[in-house]
Amino acid sequence: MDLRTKAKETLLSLLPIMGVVVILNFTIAPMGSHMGPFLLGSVMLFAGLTLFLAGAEAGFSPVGERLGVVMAQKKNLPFMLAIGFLIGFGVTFAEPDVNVLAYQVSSMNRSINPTVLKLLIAIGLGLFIDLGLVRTIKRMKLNLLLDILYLVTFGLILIAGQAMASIAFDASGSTTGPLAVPFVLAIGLGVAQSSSGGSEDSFGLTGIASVGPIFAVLMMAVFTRGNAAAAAESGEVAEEAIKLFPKMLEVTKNTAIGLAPLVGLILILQFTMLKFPPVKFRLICTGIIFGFVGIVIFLTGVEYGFSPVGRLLGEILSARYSSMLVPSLIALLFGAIVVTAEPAVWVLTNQVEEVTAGRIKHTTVLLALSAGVAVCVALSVIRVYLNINYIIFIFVLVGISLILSWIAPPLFVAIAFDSGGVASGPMSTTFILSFIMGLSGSAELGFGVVGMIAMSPLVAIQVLGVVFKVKERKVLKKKEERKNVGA
Amino acid sequence: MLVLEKNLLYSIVRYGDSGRFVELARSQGAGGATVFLAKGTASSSVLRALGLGERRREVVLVLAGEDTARSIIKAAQKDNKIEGVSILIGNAGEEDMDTKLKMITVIVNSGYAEDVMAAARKAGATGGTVTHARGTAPNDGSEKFFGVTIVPEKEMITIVADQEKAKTIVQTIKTLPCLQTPGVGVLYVQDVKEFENLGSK
Repeated sequence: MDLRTKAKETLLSLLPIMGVVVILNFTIAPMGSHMGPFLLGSVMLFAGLTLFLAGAEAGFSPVGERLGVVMAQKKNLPFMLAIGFLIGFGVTFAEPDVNVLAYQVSSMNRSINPTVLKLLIAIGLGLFIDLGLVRTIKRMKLNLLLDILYLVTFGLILIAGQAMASIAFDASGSTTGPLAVPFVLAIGLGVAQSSSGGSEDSFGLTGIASVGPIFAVLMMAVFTRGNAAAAAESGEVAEEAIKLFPKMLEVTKNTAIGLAPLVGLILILQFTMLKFPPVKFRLICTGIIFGFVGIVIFLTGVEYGFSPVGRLLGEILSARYSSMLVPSLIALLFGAIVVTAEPAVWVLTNQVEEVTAGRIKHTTVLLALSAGVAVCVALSVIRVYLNINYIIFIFVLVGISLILSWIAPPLFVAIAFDSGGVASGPMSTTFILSFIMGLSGSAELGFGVVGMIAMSPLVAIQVLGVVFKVKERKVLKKKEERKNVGA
Repeated sequence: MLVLEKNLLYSIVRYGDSGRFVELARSQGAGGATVFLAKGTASSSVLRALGLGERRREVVLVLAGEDTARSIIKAAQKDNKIEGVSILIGNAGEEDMDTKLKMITVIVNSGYAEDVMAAARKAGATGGTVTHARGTAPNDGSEKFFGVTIVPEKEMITIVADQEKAKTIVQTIKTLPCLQTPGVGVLYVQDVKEFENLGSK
């Protein structure tokens, strides 16, 4: 494990937000006694995230990679589907981002039990991983399947209403976190290889899988419609003084429950299929322990100091400014810095540069993403002020993405949908979501921002794909012209 | 192809130091260099027990005549900004080959490097460097996506030790229970002409 590199990455993603909060504290939004817990919370966030990322790399990634290889060798469909579901379920149930979201939701709306919500999200993801695997094997077109899935989603949204729709899209955005992605990708690659398909078949699995949680939450809303929706609309921001140590105990218990299925699964697989050699297996176990401690510290820090300040900041701003100009400008700023700080975003931007052979620079991609997310966060603020129905945003954003999926080059479409969750990492679930919730003061309008952030890469990357296509054509034309001149 | 009269200078330096090293090698007359990433294993047993202390390293390969290679090592030693080790590997069939040091290279399937290192250390090795590599087995369907590479990944472990210890290390690695499956890896030993520590130690 290399703690130093991880510490650097984490610090880089945390400092900009901390800086802006401190500046705001001394200028337009003094937060007095809340700054102490905020700073302590930030330190815990830093330590926890570093430990977790390092632990995940040493403990979970090797399992995911090895699993992909083993699955590729087995070539047995029911077996693959079973493993795919179990891993998808286990990983999502343990994902810290999902945990944060579930508690945010239940703090606004007491009728939703966080564990039940987590279970639903996890089941949804597991089932849709299987759907994605079947698509890979049956060689179905990616954009066609996505169109069908989102059309059904639209129907469900209309029945479920905007309060649940926003939670559903947030759930989807929070599933693709640092724990889930390596596992899902490894499984996708393993299966794509064993079904003798090309590399394009291995893309798209994450994109399909992330529709699962949307489905699951919407289904719950449709079936329990009366009471859950009613409670959601009357929800108020719950204010409670949080004590550090009782909180930590509670978080430890919940994290242990969350990780148990995944760890159990890994242990069973180790003795049946994976068979890591002894020293390596010991290292994996230490990695998992580090990951566990990391999640506990991270979540405690979030709930103790980080989220409350995000919420408070939102409340102060909404009390101070009756017009939406200043808050939406601040939101624009938060959106722009949050995305550049997510480590996963850097992987994505470099990948696009590679795919386009350097014709689209990674700084261009970063700029596009940053602009996309900034606009989405600012739009969320405007939505809070003008009380616009969330469903409209979803229809427009998803609509544009789907139309683009028929125009942009297929590889860009696959990367765009796969990277949907990339932009919405720990910082957006912990800070931005709380900020918007504080600003709105109601559950109905507070949620949905994570889902919007998660959708901005869909538009941004595909637009870049279209730009790339046009550029490439121009280059080809020039070459032809030169040929003609030469002749 | 390059002429065989040259020696291989195998240097393992701290991550980020390779640029400086290559520059230095050029100034001493080397034609060029090949650089790749590796990780060094922890030197402290406490850190190791905790699973920590891995360091990112860069390996610099330089092909040069013996005199050039030796002057590169000297220059690198003087420049105390570069931290690492330099190993000059000799060509087989030369006469002055009564060197005391050996370089052991083990190539195994991904996931076995830690076990190999642990065994080597038990047999007296003081450290080692691990590099990710890719085999070209018949089913070479290796693809890279989001930084996750699948099948057939390999790990290459490099260990330098004196002749006596090298024998025990090789024996211990060969008899590791988890390396008994056929096709799990290969191992070879080379002679080291010169071995120097670079930078502040």
